[in-house]
Amino acid sequence: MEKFILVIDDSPTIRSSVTFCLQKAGYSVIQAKDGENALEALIRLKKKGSMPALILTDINMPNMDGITLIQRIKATEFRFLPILVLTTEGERAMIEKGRQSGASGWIIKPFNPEELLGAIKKFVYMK
Amino acid sequence: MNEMDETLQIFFQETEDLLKAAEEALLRLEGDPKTGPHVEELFRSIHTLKSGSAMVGFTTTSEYAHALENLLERVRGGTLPISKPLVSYLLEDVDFLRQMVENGAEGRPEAEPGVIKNKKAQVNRFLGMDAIPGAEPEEERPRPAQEPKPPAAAPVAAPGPEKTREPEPLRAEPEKDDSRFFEITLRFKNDLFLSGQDPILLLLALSEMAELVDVAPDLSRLPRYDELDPFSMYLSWRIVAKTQATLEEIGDIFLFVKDDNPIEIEEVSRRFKDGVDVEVGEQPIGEVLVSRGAVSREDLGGALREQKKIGQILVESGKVEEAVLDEVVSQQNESRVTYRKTSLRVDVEKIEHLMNLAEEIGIGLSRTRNVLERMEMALDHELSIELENLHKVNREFQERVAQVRMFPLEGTFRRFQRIARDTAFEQGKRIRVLLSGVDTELDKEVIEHITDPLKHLVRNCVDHGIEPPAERESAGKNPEGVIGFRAFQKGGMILVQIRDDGRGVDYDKVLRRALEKGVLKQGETVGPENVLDILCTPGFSTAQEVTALSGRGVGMDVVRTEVEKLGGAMALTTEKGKGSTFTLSLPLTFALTEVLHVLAHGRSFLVPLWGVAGTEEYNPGRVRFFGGTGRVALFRDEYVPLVSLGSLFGLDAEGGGQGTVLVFIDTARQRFGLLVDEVQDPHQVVVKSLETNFRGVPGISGATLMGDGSISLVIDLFSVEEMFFRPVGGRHNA
Repeated sequence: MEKFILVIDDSPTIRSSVTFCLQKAGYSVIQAKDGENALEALIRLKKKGSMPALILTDINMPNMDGITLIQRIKATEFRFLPILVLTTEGERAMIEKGRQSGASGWIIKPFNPEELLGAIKKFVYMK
Repeated sequence: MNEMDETLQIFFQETEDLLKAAEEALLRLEGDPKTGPHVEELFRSIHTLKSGSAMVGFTTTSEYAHALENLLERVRGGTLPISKPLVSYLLEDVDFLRQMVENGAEGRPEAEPGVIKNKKAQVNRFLGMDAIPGAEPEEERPRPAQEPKPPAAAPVAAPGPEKTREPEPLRAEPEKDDSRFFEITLRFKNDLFLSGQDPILLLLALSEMAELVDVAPDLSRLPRYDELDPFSMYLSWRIVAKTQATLEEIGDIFLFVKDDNPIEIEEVSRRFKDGVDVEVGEQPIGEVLVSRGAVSREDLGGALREQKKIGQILVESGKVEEAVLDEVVSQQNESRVTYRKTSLRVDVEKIEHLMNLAEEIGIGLSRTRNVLERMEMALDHELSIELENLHKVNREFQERVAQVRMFPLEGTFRRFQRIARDTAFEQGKRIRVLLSGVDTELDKEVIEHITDPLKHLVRNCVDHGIEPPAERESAGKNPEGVIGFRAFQKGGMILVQIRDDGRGVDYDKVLRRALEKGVLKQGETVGPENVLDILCTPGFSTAQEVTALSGRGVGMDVVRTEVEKLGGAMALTTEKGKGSTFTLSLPLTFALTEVLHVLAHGRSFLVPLWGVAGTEEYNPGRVRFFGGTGRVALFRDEYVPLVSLGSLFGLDAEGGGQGTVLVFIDTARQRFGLLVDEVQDPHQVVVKSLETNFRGVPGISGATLMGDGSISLVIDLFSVEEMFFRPVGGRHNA
């Protein structure tokens, strides 16, 4: 079964660089530009009877930020999905807030592809 | 010769044959550089050597042979041309392999890590130089990196007919010595899945980074099937992993779970030898199962109370699956075997032979000195220094050999600890065991001989000494009793003490019982200090009920006899209501005894130095006489009985023996003085026990050859003491 990852970031540069990195490692990628956009994507996927293997989200985004997104996801049947945060935000309080909301892991930008893939590997089983 | 040695011998022989065959093939290839039977022969030799060396634990050799095999695989496939440099390089490698096996055979590392690293790099260079990327055959390409390595991919293939092998990708073989062991305890919270975690992935990631030596799931939190919430996590694990990764790298796997879940990672390399947990061998099986989470402590307790084979009970009652038990039992065995493997087992006879030789060197030296003196050649100063040096070296040599036989008491004490605990458990008593001086070393043979007697004492202390918790509480004591084991050196003896804070020996009760049992005659009595003599009389037991463990009164006399056979002694101090302490004084070793050389009635005797408290010129003015022959002398503010050593052995008739020197003896039980004619230098001797027909001569424990070729008798102090102070009810010191 194809594993795909939902990547949420308002910066097209980040989205495309992350996508490039993930695709090279064999994952498929669905992109969303903010939290709202991401929730819509999840609902679309659910209708198709599908779901991502992992969610990779930024924190500071317009419309709906990452923390809110995580909290919203945790209230749905997608609550068991691993959610990785990829952000420039490195403040302890913020990380703690993310953890309490239900984030599975926290990666600080600028990211190194190996680190990112290593973190994803902890949550997604790839044969 | 044991099986392992035999296998090794076969391996050494086979290695020699294989390397010769390889050499021959190489020399032929030099003249006729093309693939064919010579390459096949060469390949087969190296391949077989690889398997064989792995089998006997020559890992480094095996790994290097493996690297060469990869190289030869290409030669065989025609991708690496046979050139003169290649052949001479391979000839060098054959020598290197031979050297490695030789090193290993002599107990050294097969190769220094630096050397082997260089050699491997060389193989890799050879491969890289001639193998153009892309030109290699399809199947040579390394497998995708994502594929988890199978754990324990040992390079062992049974030597046999060659089949088409899938060549293994060449990768830097890990150095064996870099491996570390980690014990990882994963306790997950019930809501683990909510954070998107999947423990399977964590375990998989770990298995990619490390070889999982042992994986034990803890199922204790698993509820009944109908209460099971599929979204909750109930399992925990205890994992032992062998890896080259660091603690940080292992910790990194659990990066995202360790904040919320108790994850413990501990390096336990010290505990592992050759990949086997040596502690498992030391622990009782029940403890191992509990620590693996396979059973609960309560289940174990229940099983212990039933006093059957614990493992069997647990299996029968469904507390543990038979497979789990078998697994742990086999691990225990493996651990024990490995522990033994890491120490060299040498026949005691061989060591004794060495001791005898050293002794003969000593005698030779003394004789040389005697001869030189007889020649009335004034001993040249330099010569005398040389002789003295030789004496010194020889003495140290003797001591070193004796040390080979020494072992710490720790293992023995741990066993006692368990016995004490089990005994207490079965009687519903509560105890705490204190150990001290576990590093104290004793001759292996002495340890073996005292283990059984001591076991008996331990059971006795718990059984007769420690009171049930209720009784202790009403006596104002801590309901938890204390059993203490202590070992320490005093003089030339090792003292081993077993102490309890129980009810102590009831002197009056012992006396009453002794009368009942006929051990003492009506009207006869003994002082409290001789209570031990009564306890050690065959057939005597004060226990109200005889328990399964502490026997039926056959014990104490056996204990004492065993200890005395070793040249040791036993003492008891006890106080009613406070507890008892048994003290065993044991000789450090059988092999070497420091003795004081004394003369009495013109004969030479050797007095074990450990018992010598002091010597003093005999001064009749300081001696008190009583009765006919009785006399006592003041020694360190105490009057101790005196005896002439000569008259003790019936030498009075032979004349001489006026007695000029007093040798004071302290056996830790009694003190007395021996009157002798002359005291000479102390020295070390190997005591040979007298032949069977002389055995049992009271007062003599053995004989030894002196420097001048004469034979000297070694005094058995305990036996002499007995001649003084026993039998029961007889004379005892005031």
